[in-house]
Amino acid sequence: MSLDLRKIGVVAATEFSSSVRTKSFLISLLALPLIMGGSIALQAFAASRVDVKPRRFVVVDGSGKFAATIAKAVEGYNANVDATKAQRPRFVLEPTPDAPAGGEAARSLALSDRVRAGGLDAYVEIRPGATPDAAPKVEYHSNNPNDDLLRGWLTAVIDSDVRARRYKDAGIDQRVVEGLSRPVVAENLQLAERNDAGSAKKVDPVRTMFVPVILMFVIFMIVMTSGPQLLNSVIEEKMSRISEVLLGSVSPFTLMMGKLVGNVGVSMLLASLYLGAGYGVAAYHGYADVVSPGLLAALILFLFLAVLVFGSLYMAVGAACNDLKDAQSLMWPVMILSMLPMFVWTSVLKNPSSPLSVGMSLFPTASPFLMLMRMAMQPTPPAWEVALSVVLTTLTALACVWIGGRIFRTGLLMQGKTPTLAEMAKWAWRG
Amino acid sequence: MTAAIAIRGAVKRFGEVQAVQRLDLTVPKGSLYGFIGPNGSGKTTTLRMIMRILLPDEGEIEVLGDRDTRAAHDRVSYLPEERGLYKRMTVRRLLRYFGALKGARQPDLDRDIDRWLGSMGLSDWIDRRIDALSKGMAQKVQFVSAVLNRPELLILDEPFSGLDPVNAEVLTAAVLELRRAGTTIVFSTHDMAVAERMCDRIFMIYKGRKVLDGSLAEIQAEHGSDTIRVASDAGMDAFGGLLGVRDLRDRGNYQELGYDGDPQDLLRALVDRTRITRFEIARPSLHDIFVRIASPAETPAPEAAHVA
Repeated sequence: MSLDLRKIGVVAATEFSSSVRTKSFLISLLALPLIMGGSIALQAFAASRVDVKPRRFVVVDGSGKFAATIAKAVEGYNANVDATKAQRPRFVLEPTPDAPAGGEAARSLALSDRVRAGGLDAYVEIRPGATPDAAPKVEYHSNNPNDDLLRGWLTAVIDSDVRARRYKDAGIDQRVVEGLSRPVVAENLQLAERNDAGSAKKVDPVRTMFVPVILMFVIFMIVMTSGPQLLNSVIEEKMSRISEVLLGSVSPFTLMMGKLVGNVGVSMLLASLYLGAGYGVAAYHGYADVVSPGLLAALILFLFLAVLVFGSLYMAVGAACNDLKDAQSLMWPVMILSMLPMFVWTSVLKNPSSPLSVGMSLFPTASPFLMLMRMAMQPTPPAWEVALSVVLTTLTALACVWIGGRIFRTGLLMQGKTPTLAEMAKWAWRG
Repeated sequence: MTAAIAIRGAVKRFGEVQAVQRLDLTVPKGSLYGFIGPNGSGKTTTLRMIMRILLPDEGEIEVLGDRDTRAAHDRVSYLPEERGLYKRMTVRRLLRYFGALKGARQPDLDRDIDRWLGSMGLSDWIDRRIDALSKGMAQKVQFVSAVLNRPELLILDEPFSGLDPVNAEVLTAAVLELRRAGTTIVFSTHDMAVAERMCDRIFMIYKGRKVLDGSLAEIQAEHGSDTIRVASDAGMDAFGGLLGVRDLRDRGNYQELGYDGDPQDLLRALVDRTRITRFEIARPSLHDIFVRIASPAETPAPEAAHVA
């Protein structure tokens, strides 16, 4: 594979300027903040938008012990619902119908029909326990089993009443028990620092969780937007027969490297824009030191390697395809590799030193994302793990560029039938 | 005269198909060489091998004295048959890109872009996007992109296909100007008249094998005898019973025939029979030779003929 650095520079400069001049660059530039900000805003909006339609329910109290307590609790609850703020629904306790001729079963059926018809949201059947000490059997029936609001509230009310009765029957003062069984809360602190006279700061979720996740997502989104751009660019050149013109001037490997370098430039520009904006926001909120120079260097290195790995794979797929439709069927192996970090990042966040976290953060195609995330959180990974992940990812990047280059060289002039993955493997093997 | 291209025993296979079979060819420097052959005969594969876009399975190819054509990449330009341009780029940006890829320096490059676009009548389009150009204009821009680096060897795959007569003339003039300046030019074409008119030497490939290689005169001397065209008052009746006449064909206003003997004897015999208004001895055209070699009746691959 011959290389011509000057021509790589010419291809890279054109690729870079062509990319940043397009509308799709602007869209991809805005996509990350829009997706992340949008999802946070949407979740906050959804959390504030509770369904405040009154919940109508019937209590069939077979034990005869709880109906009055529940009715009183409903009054108390509704008294605290502020109708103007619409934060939670009111509860409406409907009168219990008399048992029809068919008995309890017929009443259950009739109540179920009322729920189905929309006249009721739920009904609760309370049966006494087998012994006087046993807990009553509470059955909650509704057409919307995922709506836990009413069920949870009723359970708490009945549970509280049962406890109060048990304390009373046992001759124990409930307030004493509650006072004695107050839970202990362990304060979540960082390790003590010598320069702070042995004191330790409180764990700050912004530093321990928010920043690592944001950094990982930033490079993930950049790689996921830049890779498909390369795929499109190669397919466009192949479809419009520009490839052969280019191959009259440069070797396939030089062409591929030029495109990769141009794409690295686009990715770095995106990263600097995001990080610059992120630094502004962080500094405003007093977190200017949240990304250390070492972490920044790691981000740049891992982003560079990730763009090489996925860029060369996407270009190989693009060169083998005749159009975008073909590409979809060949892209799944690359997609699975690229989605790996998304499958495990929550586990890594919770247990960064677990075998799964260490293994996945050393797995080359996931390493740039997960090792970076681990480096941004506590406990930081040992230096050997970071060094090993850099070495493995670098070797993988070189292998991907080499394999991608061989597939690119063969695929670029192929027309007609789309190759299978096995055929592409053969191209990579034989060159 | 040293060779611009020297192909020795080149073989190229695509699976079971042998696209090029043991090809030997020498293109002298400064010549204008025409590659002809039916579709699928191996012309484009040969051109791609010369550019090392494809590598021969056997044999060797030397371009401008270099066996690794990539070393000579910047001295060689190639305009492929299926050519495309970046539709959203302006003409200037595209030509700067292709010129820079060929190693052209910026000040010279801009001057050459202006000069070539001027000679092609495209000066006013320099800052327009490619997708705003007509097909003929785009084809001329493609040609300009191939010559910006002032190549020593210019390879054109079907350069005139799809062009209207006016644009074809403009491009022909540009090719001849480059040839006068000493550029070696190889082009493939299906237009036999263009090949006859422009080329010093002609190479024909058929079913992957070389079947013609030489100057037009050499090829004509080697392949087929002269054709005689006669127009007379008697038409076809003028030839009744004449000995030596063969392949007599009525072309409407004249008759075309072959004659085994001295054409002067035929003329004398015809003048005795009728009034002759035209008597022309024509060399066999390249078209005739091409059709004779590549007609379906000639299905078995012919043996390579070295005229030169």
